[in-house]
Amino acid sequence: MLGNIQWDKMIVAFGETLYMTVLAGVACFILGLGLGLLLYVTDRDGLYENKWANAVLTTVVNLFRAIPFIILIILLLPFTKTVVGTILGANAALPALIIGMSPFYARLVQVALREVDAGVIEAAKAMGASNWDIIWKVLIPESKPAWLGGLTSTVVSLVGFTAMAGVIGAGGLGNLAYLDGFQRGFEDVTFMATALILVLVFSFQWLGETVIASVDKRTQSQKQPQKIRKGLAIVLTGALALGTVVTFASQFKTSELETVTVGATAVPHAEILTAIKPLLAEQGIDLKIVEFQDYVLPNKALAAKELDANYFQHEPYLAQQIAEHGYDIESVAKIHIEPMGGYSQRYDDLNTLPQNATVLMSNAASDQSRILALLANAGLITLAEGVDATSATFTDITSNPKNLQFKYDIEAKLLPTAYQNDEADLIFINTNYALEAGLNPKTDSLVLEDGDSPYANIVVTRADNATEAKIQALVDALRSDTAKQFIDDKYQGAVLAVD
Amino acid sequence: MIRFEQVTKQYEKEAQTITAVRDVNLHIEQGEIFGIIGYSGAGKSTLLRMINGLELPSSGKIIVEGADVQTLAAKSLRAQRQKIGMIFQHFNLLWSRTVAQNIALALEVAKTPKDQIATRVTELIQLVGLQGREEAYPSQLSGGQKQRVGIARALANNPHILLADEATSALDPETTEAILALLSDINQKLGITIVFITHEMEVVKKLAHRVAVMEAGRVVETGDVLTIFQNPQQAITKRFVGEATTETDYELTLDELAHKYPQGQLWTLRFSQGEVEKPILASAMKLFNVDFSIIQGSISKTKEGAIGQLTVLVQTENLHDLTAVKTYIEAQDVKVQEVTQ
Repeated sequence: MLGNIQWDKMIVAFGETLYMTVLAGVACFILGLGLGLLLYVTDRDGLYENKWANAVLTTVVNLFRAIPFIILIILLLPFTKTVVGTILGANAALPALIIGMSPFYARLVQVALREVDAGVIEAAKAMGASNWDIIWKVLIPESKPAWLGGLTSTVVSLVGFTAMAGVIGAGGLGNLAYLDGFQRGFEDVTFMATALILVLVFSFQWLGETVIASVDKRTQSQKQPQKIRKGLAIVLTGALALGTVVTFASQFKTSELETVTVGATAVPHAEILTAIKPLLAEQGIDLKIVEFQDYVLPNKALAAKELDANYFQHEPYLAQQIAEHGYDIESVAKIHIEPMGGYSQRYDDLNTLPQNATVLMSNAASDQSRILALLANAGLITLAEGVDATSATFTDITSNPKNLQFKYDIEAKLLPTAYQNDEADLIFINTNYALEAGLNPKTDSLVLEDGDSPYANIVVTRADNATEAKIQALVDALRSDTAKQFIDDKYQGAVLAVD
Repeated sequence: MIRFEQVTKQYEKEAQTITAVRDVNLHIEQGEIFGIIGYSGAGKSTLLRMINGLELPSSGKIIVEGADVQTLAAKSLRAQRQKIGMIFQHFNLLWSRTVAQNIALALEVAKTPKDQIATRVTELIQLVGLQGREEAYPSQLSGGQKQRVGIARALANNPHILLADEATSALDPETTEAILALLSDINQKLGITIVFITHEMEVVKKLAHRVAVMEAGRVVETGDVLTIFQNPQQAITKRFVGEATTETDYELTLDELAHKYPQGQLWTLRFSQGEVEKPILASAMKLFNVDFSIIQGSISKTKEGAIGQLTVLVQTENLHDLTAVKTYIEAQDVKVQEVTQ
């Protein structure tokens, strides 16, 4: 039942989540406390009342609280690169986590400080206390349970945010649950990662409550936590600190082997790379796979020298990205194709399609060219001279004897759902989505691309490292018989190795 | 010691100007206990807070120990405040600190060396009678104990002046007695000038040497407590004195009597310690053709001695006699006030 779980991966992910949460939590605590204090003292009737400073601080805090976290990560990429030196990994997630959550905590601190009895502040002033004394000896101690409670909420929210940080390959349990669990359909991995996230959340919550109960002297009953609870809290704090330190140390661990770092999407690229890891290890090369959830960052990271290579895209997409961003990157080898296929719940053969049959496809222009070329190949339509699978558009159709009705305004990832709802006579689905939806491209499709397609998936490197020996070794391993055997066995024709 | 010169304090509130304190002139002597009485909103709290600069005047001057409070720089003002202790109606203790730590706060603020703090705290705890409760938190104390901590904290830096803001208003009568006794004691033993505000004449009677009565931001009457009780001039002062010396159904009884004996007159006689023992009424009855019926009487103790008050119904055949009787009684140092209906 838990057969798909790789415990070593799970433990590393747990460590990464803990590491990101604790480091970001400490930074949010310091920044948020400072910012919250500034908000409070510059407010009306505050110790340093200042209308303008308060207005500026309030605007900044509200602004950062309003930006969705996922967008903040992207916006902060250049800043992250400058400060942390990398846009990948757990450390790269820290700036976004800290900048995203500090304003939230600052607000909670401000609310906590507002709860301090005005009479007590007056008493301190009457004693001749300086503002500094009032802040450190009165305001902060008197609002301790409230700001500790706020810190608990902040840390718990941080655990959730670390999951989103998986977008930039930060790792952690949320990322593992998404990439290994959801994308590969390993429900036990999703379940275990979620369970561990809950363990973390409950641990932080319980720790927070224990500390608050032991510092809060406001009520007469003063139910102090029992000794055993205090002991447990100390042990738990120690364990969490240890986990953080160990992960922190591993951030700086350098492999003795030569490393080749490759960015990839989870299925099938990362799986194929995992399969050839031993081949490279035999040659003294440590293959490090960084999994991505999107298609923009892998090229950006490659161009920024965060990666040695990436393996997730096809030629036309690469050409478009180079045109848009001016990256100095290039394809070094075709590895496999994930063939585009046409599926139907109504017909078993392309030739039995009736007149005026409806054909549904994705709204991506490159997908459309590819499908038109495939239909032309099958003889259903004719395309103008000189156009091919990378350039064909609907206006290039010179004859359409069955008068096929094309519908092409749907997101690619929704195509499997459209198929299940039987929404057209013929539905073209990208293989990765077809696999996720439980379709077998080899047996279920009416028409399927072959390895000659320009849409073969490629290994891409920068111009400056294309000729390095380790890149050559990577390419050789990916085109080896071991890789081909793995692809055939694993994907049963849904993924075809390119010869 | 403390001098208010033409002090006025105005607030701007929602585009309206509110005058909290108006043209106040006061002089508080060193070593005295000075009470300021008034109903809420009379401006007494603002007046008190101008002594330690928690409030600043809109015009006029407050001179405390020779220094003009308003012109002090922030640092000198803080140094001055350390020599002016303050206690509060709601005690204003820090819940996060124990009794000893609350008292120590005042010493920490004054940058007292650490080793001296502990010694001083022990002294103060003994002074206010809180031995054994050093490690308790405020939430574990009674109201009276909390005010004792407040007093110890206020006295920590050996102040010359102690300001008390309705210090007993949140306490029950017995605890009030004990706290007032403690304050009197401190005044006598340490010679600290005490300025307090209250809305209860009872507190003035028990604690003050001198009193100022405030109404609508003005000080309407000032004097030593005995004089004020014997001979209140202003309507508001009479009300306060009345509250402190009469029964609640007194007014009703007077009304009834006035109806019953329309030819009689109601007199209120006020006298102090020396006159209490003289048989003034008896000799008046012998000398004049007049009858006295005692309606109500009381003796109250103030710091300076007892004061008595007697309300009598005076009946006589001849109205001329009344004037003579009045003159005779007043010649004995007893104030006579005709109660009008």
